[in-house]
Amino acid sequence: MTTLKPFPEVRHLVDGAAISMYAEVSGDYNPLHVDPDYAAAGPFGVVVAHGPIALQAVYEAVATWLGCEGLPAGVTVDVAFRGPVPIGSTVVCSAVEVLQFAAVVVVMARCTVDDREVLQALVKLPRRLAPA
Amino acid sequence: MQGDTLDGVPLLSQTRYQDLHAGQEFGPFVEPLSAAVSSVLRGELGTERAGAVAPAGVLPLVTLRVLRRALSGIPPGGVLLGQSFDVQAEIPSGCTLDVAVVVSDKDERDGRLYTTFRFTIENEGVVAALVDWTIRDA
Repeated sequence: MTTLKPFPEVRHLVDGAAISMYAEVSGDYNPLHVDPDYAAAGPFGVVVAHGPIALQAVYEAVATWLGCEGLPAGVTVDVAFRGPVPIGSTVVCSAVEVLQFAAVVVVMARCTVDDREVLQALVKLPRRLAPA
Repeated sequence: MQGDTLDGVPLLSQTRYQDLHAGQEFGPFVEPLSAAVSSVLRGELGTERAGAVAPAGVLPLVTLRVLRRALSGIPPGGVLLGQSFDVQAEIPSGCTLDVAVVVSDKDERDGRLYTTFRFTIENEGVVAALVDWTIRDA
């Protein structure tokens, strides 16, 4: 088994400016994300980030690990959103486990907010792309 | 943003997830991707980093934009449960993409509705990525 480069830990602050920016570039003004009064009466009781915002930390970690700008062809990422990211949170992405198989490498990553899991990601890549 | 619309598309949709049916197709939609948007999706939101290749963050962003166009706004109250991304080719940081979307699955469990969308993202006629979204009606 090859010793691979350690998967980096990445931290992102998700503040009101980040949520507003994502609403602006995506056009998603769902009141759960942008309306404090609506969000206060909603299922989370507070404004929460768009789901893909937490994913940004995963993508930065993977890109840093692979040493590339985007994801190379052949990479797949399966994401399960486990919980909301309240406004003002810091999202921490880290690897739970990196598994090596004959042809592929699988990274089981997670994002947490205050040690609460908010996202799980399974990143699969051809073995040739895994950084030693 | 102007009033309750953005680029001529309502912010919130009158469509409900229960109105959709499996196999329903939308698009393809032409989606311009600017280098400036790619730059802000390369790391923590609020930072900018230029580059020639689009970061992976454009995939959820572009598909979100297309979903909004397909459904004439975002149906309010839906909760995003999962996404999957199958990258097949590099996307330049500034380009024009063609994105088609289909309702690939609808499922009702425990009185809750789950809707899955499959997006096919093409750049210059080549499939660059396949993206799936699963949303639970809140």
